[in-house]
Amino acid sequence: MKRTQSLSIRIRALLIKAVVFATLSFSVAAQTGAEAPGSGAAVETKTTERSVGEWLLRMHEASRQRSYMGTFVVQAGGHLSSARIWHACDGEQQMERVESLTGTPRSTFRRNDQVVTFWPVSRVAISEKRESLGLFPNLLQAANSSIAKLYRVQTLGHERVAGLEADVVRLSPLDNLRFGYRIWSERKTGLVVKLQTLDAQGRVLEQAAFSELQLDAPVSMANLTQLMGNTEGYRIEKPGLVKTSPAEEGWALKKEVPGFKSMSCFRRARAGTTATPQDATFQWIFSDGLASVSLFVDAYDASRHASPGHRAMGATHTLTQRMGIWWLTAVGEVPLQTLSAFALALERKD
Amino acid sequence: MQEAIKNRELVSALVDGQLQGEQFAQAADWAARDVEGQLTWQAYHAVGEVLRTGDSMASDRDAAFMARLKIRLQQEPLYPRQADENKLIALEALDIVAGTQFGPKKYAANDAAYRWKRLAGFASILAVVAVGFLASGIWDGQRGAPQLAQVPAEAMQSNPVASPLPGDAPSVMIRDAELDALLVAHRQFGGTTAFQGPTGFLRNATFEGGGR
Repeated sequence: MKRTQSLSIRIRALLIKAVVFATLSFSVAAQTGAEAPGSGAAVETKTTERSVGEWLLRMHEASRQRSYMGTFVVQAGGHLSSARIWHACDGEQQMERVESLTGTPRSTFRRNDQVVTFWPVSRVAISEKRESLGLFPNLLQAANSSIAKLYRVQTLGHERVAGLEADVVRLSPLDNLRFGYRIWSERKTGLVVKLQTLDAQGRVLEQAAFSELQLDAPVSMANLTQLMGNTEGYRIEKPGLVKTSPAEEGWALKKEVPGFKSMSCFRRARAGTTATPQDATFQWIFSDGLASVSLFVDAYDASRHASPGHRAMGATHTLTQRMGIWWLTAVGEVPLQTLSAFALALERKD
Repeated sequence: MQEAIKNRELVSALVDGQLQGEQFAQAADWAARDVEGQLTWQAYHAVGEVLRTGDSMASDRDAAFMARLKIRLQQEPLYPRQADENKLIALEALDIVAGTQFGPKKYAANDAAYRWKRLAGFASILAVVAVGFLASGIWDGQRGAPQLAQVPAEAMQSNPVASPLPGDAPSVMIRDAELDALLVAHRQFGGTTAFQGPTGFLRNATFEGGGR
C-alpha cells in the first residue's frame, strides 16, 4: 500500500516537472516569436544604465571570477554545433575545456592565451598562443571610447536563459559597416549566457547560447591542467606563424575603414610549405572593438584561385578577388560592404 | 531389533543436532562404542552429504555403499517435490496471465495512479512538441529570415564598388579547402574583439569550421 502511495507521489512529481517544462518551453517559444524581425525584441524597460564599456567589462570580468560548466550551442548559417564546457579560474589563471558534441571529435583546452586542440581521430594536437585572448581587458579599456562612438547601448529588460535570469542588452551600430548584437548577461555575475548577431533589419544572423549552465561548479583546475598536458600518443603541431608588419610586407590602406583599427599582422605558411614571403599568406587583422576583419593576401595562382566572389556563413562574410598578381581574401563578422571597403582601400607599396 | 531401530533414530537425531541431555549421551555412547553405531553414524553423515551436495567426500571408505546409496536415491520416488514444482509452475503461469491478459485490471482506468500516468505521458509528449516548436523557432533562421550574405540593399547602393550583388551569387555552403583554412585562421587569430574572451573563444571552439 505504502509502495503504491510512494509510486503515485513520484508519478505526480514527474507530471508536475513535465508540465512546468512544457509551459516554460512554450513561454520561451512565445518570447522567441516576439523577437521576430521588426517587433523590437523584449520589452524595453530600462533597468540598469551602464555604458557599452561597462557592460562589456562586467561580462568579461564574470568569466575571470567564476567557475562553471555547461552545454554551449552555436547556430550559424543553418549549422548547429554544440560543446560541453568546463571553466575554472583562480583570479589570475583561467582554464577552459571545450569538448565538441557535434562534427569532428575534438577537445580544446585553454590556459589564459595558451590553447591546445586535440584531434583524436588524426591523433594531432595543435598547440598555439592566441595573443588576442591576452589583449583583454586592455583592448576594451583602450577601445571603450571608440566602441561608444560606433554602437548605441539599450537595456531591454530581462529574460531567463539556461534557467538563469539575465539582463538583455542590445548594441546597435551607428553606421552600416557593422552588425548589431543582442546579449544576455546573467544578472548576478554578468556572464554572457547568450549572444546574437543581428543584421541591419534586426534579423538574427548567428547566435550562441548556453542551453544548460551550472555556475560556481566544482571544476578542478588541476584536473584540467593534467588533461591539457596529456599529449601522449598525439603528434604536436604548431602553426607556422611569423609576426610581421604591413610596411615590411609592402601593404597599406589608402584610406581607413571607419572604426576599424589595425591590430596585428602575421605571415603564415600554407599547408605543406614554409613561411617564406613567396609561398606564405599575409594576414592583416583589424577590429572595431566588437567585430574583426582579416585580410589574407597571397600570390595569385590560377590553379588555386579560381572563383572570386563572396560567401557567408552566419555573421561571417568572405570576399575574394584578384588584385593584379595578388589574391585577396577578406574575412570578417561584418557586412559585405565593409569587406568591399577594405578591398578598395588596400594597396601595394613596392 | 526395536532397540537397533531406536538407536538408529537416535543417531539420526544426533547427526541433525537435535539431541540434548541423557538422549545425547546415550546416542553418542552407542555411535562411539558399537560397530553398528559407528556405521550408522557414518551412513547418516554420508546420506546427508549426498543429499546436500550430490557426492560424499567424507565417506568414500565404502565405495560400494556410496554407489548403492546414489542408485537408491535416484530410484526414490520424488512425488512431494514434483507436487511442489507443479504448484510453483501453476502459480507462475497465473502471474504471467495476470500480468498480460488481466494486467490492466490491476491498474484500472479510473485508478488514481493510472490517471496520473496518462497525464504524465501526455505532458511528456507536450514537452517534446514544445521543444520541437521552440527549436524550429530559435534555430531555423528566426522564422524564415533570409539566408546570410544578403547584404541590405541600401548598403549595397551606398557602396557601388562592392562585388556581385547577393542575388547574383547565392550564399552557398563554403567547402573550399583554402577558404576553410583562412576562416580557421581568422577565427584563431583575427577574433580580436570584445567577444573573443571568453564568449568568442567558446563560439569558435564549439563551431566547426574546416575540420581535420
